[in-house]
Amino acid sequence: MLVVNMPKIKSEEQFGNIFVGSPSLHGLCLSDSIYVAKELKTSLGVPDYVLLAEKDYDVLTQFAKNYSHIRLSGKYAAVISCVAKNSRVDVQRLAELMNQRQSAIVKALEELESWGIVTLDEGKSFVSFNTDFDIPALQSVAIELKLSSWQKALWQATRNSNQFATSYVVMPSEKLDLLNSKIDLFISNNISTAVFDVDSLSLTPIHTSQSEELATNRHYLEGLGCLIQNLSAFHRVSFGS
Amino acid sequence: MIFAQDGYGPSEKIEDGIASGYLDGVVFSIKHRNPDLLPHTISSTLSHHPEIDLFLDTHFYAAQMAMTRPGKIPDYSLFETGLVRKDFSVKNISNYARRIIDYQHGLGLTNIILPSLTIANFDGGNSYLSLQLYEAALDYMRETNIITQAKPYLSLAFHEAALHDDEKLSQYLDDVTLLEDVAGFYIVVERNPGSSPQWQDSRTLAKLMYIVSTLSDSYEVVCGFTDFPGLVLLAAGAKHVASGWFQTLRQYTGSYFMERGGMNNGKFRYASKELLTQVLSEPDLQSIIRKGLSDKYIDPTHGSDGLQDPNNLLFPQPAQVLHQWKTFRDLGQRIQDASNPVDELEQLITQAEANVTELQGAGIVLDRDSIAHHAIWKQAINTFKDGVL
Repeated sequence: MLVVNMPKIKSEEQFGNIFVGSPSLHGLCLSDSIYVAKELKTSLGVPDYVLLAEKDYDVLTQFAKNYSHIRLSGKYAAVISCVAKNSRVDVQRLAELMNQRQSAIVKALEELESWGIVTLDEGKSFVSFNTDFDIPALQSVAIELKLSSWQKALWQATRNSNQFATSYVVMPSEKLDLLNSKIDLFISNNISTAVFDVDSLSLTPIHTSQSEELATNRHYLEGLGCLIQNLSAFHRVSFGS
Repeated sequence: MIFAQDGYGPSEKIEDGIASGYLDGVVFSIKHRNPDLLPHTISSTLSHHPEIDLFLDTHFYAAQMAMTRPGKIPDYSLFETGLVRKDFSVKNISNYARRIIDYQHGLGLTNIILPSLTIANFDGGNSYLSLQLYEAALDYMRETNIITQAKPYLSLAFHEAALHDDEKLSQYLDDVTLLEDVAGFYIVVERNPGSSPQWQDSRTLAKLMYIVSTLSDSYEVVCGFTDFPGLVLLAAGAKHVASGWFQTLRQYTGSYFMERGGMNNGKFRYASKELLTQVLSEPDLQSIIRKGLSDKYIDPTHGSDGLQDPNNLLFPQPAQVLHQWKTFRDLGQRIQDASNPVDELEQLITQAEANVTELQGAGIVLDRDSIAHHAIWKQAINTFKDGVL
């Protein structure tokens, strides 16, 4: 009799539900309590899951409370990123790079100044970053789950790595050899990889790496804005005894 | 060879594109131009750049659409939008044709686009009405002697799906090529919503190549609303292809008249000569820069200083479109100058595929949707070479 091995998992959704419902989640974010959001929409896509350790969730909640008036939209994030990387920035040059009228950029900078993020000089010709303003450095985790397409997973995970401290690709344990054969590509893009066994509910990390310096990355700032706006999308999972 | 497809927020883009030597013409749009200012814009462009071909797209081909965002079109009073079959009496057809010709002629344009309707299938009602519109327009140009002062171009707008019917398409081309005094065609393909601007279907692309090739034997062919597939159409024989700064100006769909377009959220695509595609800024272009491959893949001519920091890529729209027109011009020149333009295009595709492989070797896996058309274009070329119809 012909025996056909049927796939155990039929959809990524099913795979994700089993994975997130398992204690293995703890292996990707070391905290007794993890906050989990499913399919959180960010400016660079929709990671299947986003994880925050409890302490980071608390930091984010406090930041949201202190700066509830701040809008970390694309434009503001790009301006903050430019200014934060340079000690003193020419406002006219900034306007050219941003393709905005100088008056519009000055208006945006004045708003950022009122929030305590930047300081404009008297003539409003130069701007500098206010180093007292702390951008929260979250140890956030984005997870991209795929049953077979490692390319799609790598591509989206690379986008996620702009916004999250660790960007994971998790595939079924049957794909261990496949992932190992492509591991150099994942490593060179700072993407962490793991496989998950749906029978034993065990997670096997293959490689772990951190995203590049994020604090002044424009997309990280935009992502921070998304997280703040979607704090209610997170639910708490506890692993304590 | 490369025309600007006019759109919202032109500022100095078109002028800069002409001054840089990237543009050979402009297709102005009444959707985006104030009727009080358009005459001055056109006369000024004509006097400063007499070498440039100017056209005006009145978008009559979309007159049956109930447009929710018609832009400035109603301000011109050339036609109402949301027209239905009963609006196309013989008298009305003559009136539409007359108004549209008079308006273009009055602007001093020497290339006049004749009205037609978007064809859903080549033996349907709109194909018949389009022939009537052409005839009425050509008759009027002869009666008024405008034909001695301006060249008539037939607008040929059709839905991508119409390309599936070989026999009717062939018959329709026979019909339109029987018309006399025609100088050329302005082709607009209405793509399916959600289609890839770089084209996903080799069969329909091959048929579009066939149309362009057939018409270009006897006429000048201008293809509107093109992205990289404009290169395929140049290889097939198009004299000019038009392209603009928003995706809606590089691929025409019905949403052009329905939705707000062109929001700039800071993410962009980079027209890559080496990859024959619009490369996504994040993560594809970002990875290319991070891996130190800027020298090969980034042209320093326009806006490259904003492309130094992979964590905050900034490519202002004026620089983006100048770069894009330069890219299309450089590639188009190679194709049109080649003894066999289709073979030249094939070589460019092969080189682009090799570059994709090289990038993967360097650890960069590009968005698959951005490069899937390489194989599709090659299939289309093979079908075209074998004889589509």
